[in-house]
Amino acid sequence: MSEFAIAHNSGMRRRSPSQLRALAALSYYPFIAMMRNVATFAFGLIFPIVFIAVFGLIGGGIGGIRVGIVSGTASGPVKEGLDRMPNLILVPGDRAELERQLRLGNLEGVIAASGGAVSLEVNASSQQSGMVQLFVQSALDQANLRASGVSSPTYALSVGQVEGRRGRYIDFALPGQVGLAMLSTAIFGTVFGLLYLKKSLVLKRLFATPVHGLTIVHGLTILLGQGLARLALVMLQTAVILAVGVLAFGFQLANGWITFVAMMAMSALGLIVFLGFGLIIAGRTNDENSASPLANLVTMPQFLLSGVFFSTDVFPSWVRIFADNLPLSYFNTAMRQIAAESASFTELLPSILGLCAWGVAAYLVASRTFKWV
Amino acid sequence: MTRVATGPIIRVDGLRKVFGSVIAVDGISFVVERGETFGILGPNGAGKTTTLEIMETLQKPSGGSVSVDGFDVVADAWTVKSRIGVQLQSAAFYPELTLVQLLKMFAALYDIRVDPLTILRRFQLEEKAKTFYDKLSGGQKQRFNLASTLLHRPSIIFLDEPTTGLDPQARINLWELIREVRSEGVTVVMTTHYMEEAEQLCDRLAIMDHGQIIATGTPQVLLDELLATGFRKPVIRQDATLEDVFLWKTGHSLRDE
Repeated sequence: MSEFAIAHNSGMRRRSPSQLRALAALSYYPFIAMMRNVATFAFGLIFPIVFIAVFGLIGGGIGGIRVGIVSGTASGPVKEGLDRMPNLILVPGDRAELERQLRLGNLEGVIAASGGAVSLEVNASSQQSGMVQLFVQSALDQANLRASGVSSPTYALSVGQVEGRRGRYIDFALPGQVGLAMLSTAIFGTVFGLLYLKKSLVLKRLFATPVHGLTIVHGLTILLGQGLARLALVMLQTAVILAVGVLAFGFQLANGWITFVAMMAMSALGLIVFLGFGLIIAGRTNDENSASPLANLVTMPQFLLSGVFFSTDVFPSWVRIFADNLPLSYFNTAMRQIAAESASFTELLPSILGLCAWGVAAYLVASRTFKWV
Repeated sequence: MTRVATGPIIRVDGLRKVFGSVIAVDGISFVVERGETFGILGPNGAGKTTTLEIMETLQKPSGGSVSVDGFDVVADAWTVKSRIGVQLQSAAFYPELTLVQLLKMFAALYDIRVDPLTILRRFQLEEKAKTFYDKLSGGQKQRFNLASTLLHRPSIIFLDEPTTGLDPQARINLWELIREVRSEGVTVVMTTHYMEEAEQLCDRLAIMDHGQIIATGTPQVLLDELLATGFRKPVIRQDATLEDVFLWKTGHSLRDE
């Protein structure tokens, strides 16, 4: 078939084109095109994974207090006692250099010992100096007890533990990274993607085809296809971020697969809402120069204020009123509730409603302001 | 809706297009006969592309009427879209898709089944099947453009400056393909800046300037008209070329982009 040698027969019967097949094509092929685009890949997958890797490492390494120990001075039971302290990270070096680091605030203390005399210098302006003193004192006490032959002390402290969740930074950071990747794809991906299609005439070429969509609205099928392609991309992003988090950095899913599925569903909802913001910007601008500031205006405050990297608890209450009501804050809150507590739908409802309210507002504005050319 | 199967395939009647205070197309009328190659010539900004895009249903007229293959471009836009093939002025394809993927996508949009390789073979692009559109040469891009335009076997194709920027060989190659398409009974409507191209390909021409049609006719009629004014080329090997007609009608002054 499709031999062009056959002269065209203008009386040929034509069916009305199948709009579902068109929609499938307008979702699938843009998705393929996106996957081949380096920028999409980098912003969507590589950056969040790099962030997670960094946060995963933070979770293991920075838990302790860094204390300098002058090389060659401490040895024997004192050194052993200090080594055994779980919260001390001993940094060996010569005295002058260690003291310089102490003054710079890079170390919390400098220990030197000659025989039984142990000297500790601390930074007077550091809040940690008391802790350092306590740890070193405790190490010395243990050494003293052992030196005086006491193996079962008269007064002993026993510490009970509850089986709590390990509150590591990765468990806080990962849901935020899912939000970051989702917001980037929804805003930057949509805005620059649609602008490119406008400028390169791809959009116009699509308008010349008989795709009038499932509705009568001009070009809605094309937008719907774009949206579905981004939805697929975000699902992929979330799945990869979660997989890397769980497998490589021990991210904890409160309820296993159910939590995974719930986080995927939440990402889908998030993308649909944020796509509305992308459409507002893409529909009102005609080139990257005018779109870029707008896209940053929408994304930057949310990257900083929506608890992506740190909890909004740190802000004064008047900032929190604003910060906690940003759409990404609703999203991040819900994601953390799902990941950590396996929260039920009812518990998530306030966040979901907040997110949906933003979504409705965004689509209302977009539908009133969108311009194709 | 009754369709007229005979007579002109395109009727443009008193067409106007206004952008704000700018009149892009100022009440033009012409017809395109079934099976002919019709050229629209004119300087940049004359209104050629706007006229073409109204016929292609990509813009709405401000006044007047246009019917294509018997259907009104406003009232029956979707029917018109399925009967025409459109080639835009520049690249209009996802650069990250291969030629085969692009053809499959367009086939889905027109809801037809095609064999991409057969189509590519016809346009000497078979070995580029897995190449991205971005990586094609100018001539290959325009050949692919033409291929995508003909995918659904339209009655009419619109070509907007199809050979702009091509080297002479690629241009002659594309002319051959356009002649082939015409010989199969497809009506071709094209714009061009090249008078030689118009002379080579077009059965009839319309010359536009400032949104109006200032001359129509076959290349020969237009030449005769010019010669009748007493015009003669200073060095006579050919009495006149179409380029002379063009400049006679539109003046010598340089136009903005």
